[in-house]
Amino acid sequence: MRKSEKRWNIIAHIILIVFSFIILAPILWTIRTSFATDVIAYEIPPRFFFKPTIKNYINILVENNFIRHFKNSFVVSLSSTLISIPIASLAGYAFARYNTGGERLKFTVIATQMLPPIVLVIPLFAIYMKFHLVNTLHGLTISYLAFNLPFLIWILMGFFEGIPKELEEAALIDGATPLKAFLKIVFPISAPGIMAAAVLSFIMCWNEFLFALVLTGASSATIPVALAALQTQRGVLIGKLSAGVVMAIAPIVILSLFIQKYLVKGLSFGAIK
Amino acid sequence: MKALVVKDLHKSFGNVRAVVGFTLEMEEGEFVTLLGPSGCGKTTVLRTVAGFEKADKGEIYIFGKLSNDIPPEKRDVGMVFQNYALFPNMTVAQNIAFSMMIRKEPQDKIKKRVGELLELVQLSGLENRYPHQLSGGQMQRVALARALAKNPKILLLDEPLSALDAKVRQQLRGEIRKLQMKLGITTLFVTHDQEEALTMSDRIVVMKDGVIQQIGSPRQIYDDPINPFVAHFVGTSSFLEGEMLDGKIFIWKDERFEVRKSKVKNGKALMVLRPTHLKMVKDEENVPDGSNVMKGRVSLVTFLGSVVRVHVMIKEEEILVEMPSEDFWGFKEGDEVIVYFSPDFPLVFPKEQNIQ
Repeated sequence: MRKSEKRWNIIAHIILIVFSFIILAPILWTIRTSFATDVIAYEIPPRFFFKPTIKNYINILVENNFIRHFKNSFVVSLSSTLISIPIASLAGYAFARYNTGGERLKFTVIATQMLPPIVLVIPLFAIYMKFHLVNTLHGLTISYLAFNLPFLIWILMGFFEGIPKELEEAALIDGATPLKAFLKIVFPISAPGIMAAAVLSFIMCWNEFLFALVLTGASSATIPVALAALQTQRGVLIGKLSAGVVMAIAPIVILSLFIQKYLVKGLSFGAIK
Repeated sequence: MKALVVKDLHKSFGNVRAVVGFTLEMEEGEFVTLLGPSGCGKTTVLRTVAGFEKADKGEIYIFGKLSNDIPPEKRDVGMVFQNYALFPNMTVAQNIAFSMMIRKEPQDKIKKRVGELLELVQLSGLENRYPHQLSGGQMQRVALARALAKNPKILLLDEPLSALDAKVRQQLRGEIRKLQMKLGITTLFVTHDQEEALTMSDRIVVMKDGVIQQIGSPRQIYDDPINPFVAHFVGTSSFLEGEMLDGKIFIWKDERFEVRKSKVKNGKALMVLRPTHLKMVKDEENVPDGSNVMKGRVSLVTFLGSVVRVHVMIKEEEILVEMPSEDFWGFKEGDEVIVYFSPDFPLVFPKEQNIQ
């Protein structure tokens, strides 16, 4: 490596390190605070080294019923993902291959995403009241389904469009029925893409706040709503809040590692030609 | 029985008429090439025979069976695609075995057949590779083996060589033809490459704008093109615009040429000169009696290996002359030369027929 190249390399890394730190600092600080007692957490100037405690984690799980909220989040995110992925796959495939409904329907599907969610949440609440869906997990699941589907359909449509039509035609001419061609060829090839879309859907549901806030009650609150509730009249319960945030992030971080693997795999399949 | 009969096939996409009144009969074991520029409808014909496109009008008979409404998976045809279309999630062996696997044939039979086919396309030992680990030529051999695996009655080849390097293309060209003759399989081949068409086919179908221009053996197509388009598309030619007199004399600028093969009696006409029909000398005394003679100046000499192509400027038109390399006497740019040709060679067409 030439000397000037080496110097640029070092400068680039310094810049990247600084920006990485700016992004990571709040998260690292939250993790640090989650292991501190309230006294240490509020101390100014802050202390960097102290004896860590897991009391915040125990308290939030027991006192604030976070096990239940975790379960709620998990049930809602997983069920809406499991229902939306098969629907979105088939719809995306139909759009990509058969141009079902033409450009207009494709646009209509994505157009539903253009309304700010806040416009819809109050009418939806009124409808949900009538149908007794407020403060239920399936009610929340249905609303997530409705809002994630267009997005997932578009992602998967793009993915299916990337698979050459000739692959299916080759399967057909070799005697496979259209369904068999889909199951034996298209599905395995697009599995990484479908997996990535599923993870994305899960993350979107897991992080959703507005609908959860309006449509759930104490028993059906999801993690983001429960975390917001830690801002009490006695002030922000910073220790517990930090512990809750760390626990809320953890599954997403793990999932992100998965999605990375699948995205890389999805890209390497680009070598179809 | 005819292997394939396509009768008065019509197909449009929106306002674009892709195929108009296409009719072709193929004998069993015949190798027929659909040749034409891109957008001439040749691929549409192939895809209709495969069952991927539905004919607007017309019938397709495969070994006597009306096949218009038979879906591709039930037609007894094999196909090789331009971009290989190998299944990326399967190994070479699994790709080739796909049709047999769909038909649920016994494992040992499949294995034996895959081995045979790999040997046939000279890829033995690569059964466990994935498509992305193969070269273009290897992938197309696998695709060929896969298409042959189910013993199809008709083999369809959709520009299978156009994505390959020149060297591999030439080699595979010969191999495909030899294999086809060995297996005696009826083959319909689509290409825009005239050289492929001329070297591989029993018969060539030249198409333009969805319409068949001419059907004939490679020799017929080359020596006796039916119109200026075919002459222009197959082989290299020089075109001279002039006037015919009494069906015997072609007048070009102030030259008069005697011709024997004219489709025009009197009036505006187009003369086609193949570079190989023209001869070139320095002195007029070497010109045989009865030849048509033109004088010009060499503007470019290109060496093509076995032949040398000389561009000669004659009355502000560039005319191509080709001669075997060993007959080339070292003309160079700027030389004054005499170009002559026998009255037997040139073809004369009515002017209104366009070459494009």
